[in-house]
Amino acid sequence: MIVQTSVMLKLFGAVLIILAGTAIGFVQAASYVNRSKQLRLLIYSLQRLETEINYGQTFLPTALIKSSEGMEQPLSKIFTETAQLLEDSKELSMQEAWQQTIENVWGHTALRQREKDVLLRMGTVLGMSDAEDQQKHLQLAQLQLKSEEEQAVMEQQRYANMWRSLGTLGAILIVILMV
Amino acid sequence: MEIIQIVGIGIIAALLVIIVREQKPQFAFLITLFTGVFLFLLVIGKIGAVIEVINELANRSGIPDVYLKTILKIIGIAYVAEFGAQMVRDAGQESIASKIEFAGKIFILVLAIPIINVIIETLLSLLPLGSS
Amino acid sequence: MEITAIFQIAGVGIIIAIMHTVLKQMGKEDIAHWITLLGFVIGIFMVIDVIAQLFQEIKSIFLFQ
Repeated sequence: MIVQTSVMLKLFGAVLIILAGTAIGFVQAASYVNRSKQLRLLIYSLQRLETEINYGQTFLPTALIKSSEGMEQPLSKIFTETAQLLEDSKELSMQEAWQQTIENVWGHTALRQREKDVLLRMGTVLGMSDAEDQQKHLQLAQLQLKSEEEQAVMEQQRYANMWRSLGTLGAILIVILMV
Repeated sequence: MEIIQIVGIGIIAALLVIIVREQKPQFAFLITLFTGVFLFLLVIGKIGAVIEVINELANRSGIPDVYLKTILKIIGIAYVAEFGAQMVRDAGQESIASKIEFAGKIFILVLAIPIINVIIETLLSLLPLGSS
Repeated sequence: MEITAIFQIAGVGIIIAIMHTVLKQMGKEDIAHWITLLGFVIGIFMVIDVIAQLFQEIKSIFLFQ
């Protein structure tokens, strides 16, 4: 009876380890998938922001909130929180608010340093000059993000599958070594 | 019926080697090595029992201890050298294997020299030539 | 030391072979080679254990002291 329980316990532990390894693999793969997805959404929202600024001539916080519609949680926060900050404290410049928000939100997204640089550079111009100039900068940011997105999609195709199988395989390896 | 156990281990190991050799020959060699050593370990206990008996017989018949020890050492060297050479040959290193065998032969010769010496001396004392 | 070690070595070999192919397909051959090396070292540790045992046994039986 005791032998049986210990075997059961071992089996249970092995299953747990394999599940954990698979989960790690899937999380890693998901970060690649999320990255390309979030980049795409970011590009859409920048497009919308561009239209708002160019044709709507909307007040910037309103434009930011409007362009964040249809986006999911971590990314939409960049826009809504900036808008919030701008509304709340009048002495904060657009650039400062933008920077502050991005620093806050960045950890929750799957995006990387290069996208952050692009967005920060864009933020320095936002709300500072006339519509035409802003539009130019927005388009430039979109272009850069687009190339990042293409790269992200390529990486996703290559590495997402790899991480999925690697997680499970690593877990099985650990189980084999521990038996 | 340990022979069944040994044959079973051998067959299983051979199957595993066939499976693994396709992708990773290194691991196939590790399995071969492990199996060889493992089977040797299983059998060596039996050799120990036989040697025990021989030892006892030699003690009773009054043969000097040195001779038996030398013979045992020679047998041991032969086994170890053969085993090592076989393993190295499995890894595909024919030249190293032959060197191991060569070293085994030399050690056996070195150990045998005292015995040969004694034999020749005995022979010489038996021959009438020795009196001249 | 038990026979399960044979299966362990074979299992490690197969898993590492699969890992190698996966990594190779993704163009990470250097990592694949490192993983192979790691698995091989683990296997060697298992084998070394038995070999040490065997030599100890031989030493005690054939009176090499």
